[in-house]
Amino acid sequence: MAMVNYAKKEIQFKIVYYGPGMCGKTTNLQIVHDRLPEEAKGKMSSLATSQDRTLFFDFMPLKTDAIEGFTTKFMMYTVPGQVKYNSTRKLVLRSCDGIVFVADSSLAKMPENLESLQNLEENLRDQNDTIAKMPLILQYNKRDLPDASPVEYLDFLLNKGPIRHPTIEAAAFKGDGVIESLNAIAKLVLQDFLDKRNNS
Amino acid sequence: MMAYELTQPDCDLLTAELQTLLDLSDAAVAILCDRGGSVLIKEGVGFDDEQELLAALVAGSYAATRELAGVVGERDFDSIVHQGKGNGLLMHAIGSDVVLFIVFGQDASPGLVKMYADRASRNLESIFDEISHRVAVVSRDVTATFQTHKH
Repeated sequence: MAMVNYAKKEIQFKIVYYGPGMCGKTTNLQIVHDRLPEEAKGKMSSLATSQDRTLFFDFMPLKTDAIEGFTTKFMMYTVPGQVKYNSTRKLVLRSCDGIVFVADSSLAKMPENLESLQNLEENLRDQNDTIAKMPLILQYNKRDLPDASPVEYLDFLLNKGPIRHPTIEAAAFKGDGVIESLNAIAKLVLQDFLDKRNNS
Repeated sequence: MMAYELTQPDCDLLTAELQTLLDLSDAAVAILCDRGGSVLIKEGVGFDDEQELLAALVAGSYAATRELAGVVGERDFDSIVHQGKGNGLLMHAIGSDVVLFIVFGQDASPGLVKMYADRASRNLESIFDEISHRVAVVSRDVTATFQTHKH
């Protein structure tokens, strides 16, 4: 849920990159950090294992002027993808305003993509939220792999609910689709914020 | 979980409370953040560029320690103190949604910091009880487009 500070003229949103282990969540944040100008970003911080696997989360603040008269900050997080770290994922998801679900396009990774999406659904339900209500985009990552599944198959497996989420094809390692995903989720989150306020 | 919207009077009240705490305890910096990791108010000198990172780490650290306490059977858990050679850190729960984070140096006594944090927490909790959602900001232009500086 967005935090609004009228005294500082500032709004903060929380965006979480979710997905199975090794799907490219941390790579997304690293590319964003690498490509955005200094004035738009803060320091990227990673709580990782000695093998560079995310243990708790990666974090990076971004700043823009999306809403007139207010500094808009996006707090970017990743969750650890490994199945055993579910309690950590729940903590990071707390008060989240938008999600980028990073799916691994490799055919062999489809069971893990599905399991992670179901896990996201359960964890959101635990905090009285749902995937249908949450601003969410699906990033089909690793499109450059030789065994990448057809996009239609990924849609069939991961995007068949009553509400179809926007999808973006990416090869995060090369930087393709990363900034597009960021801009897409930022737009959804801002739209959701204004819709909720105008309807309240 | 509460989505905080802080007005100027809210900020004035919270800032005054934090300033009193810093004055009395000789602590260096106090930050109020919600348990989702958002900065609400910061008072004191330093860490301006790191406040969002600090809030994210405080929320994570507090939540993890609270889980630890729960596992060993401690339900009434509200504060954590870390003491280093140069600086000490204190995290204190304010109600169910907010954490008060304090950085203090060698010139401050950890016991005094904790005592004044306890006292401030009661006042801060009653201020947060008064804070509720308010309608104001509206804009039609809702596109945030991040531009890259290289390709």
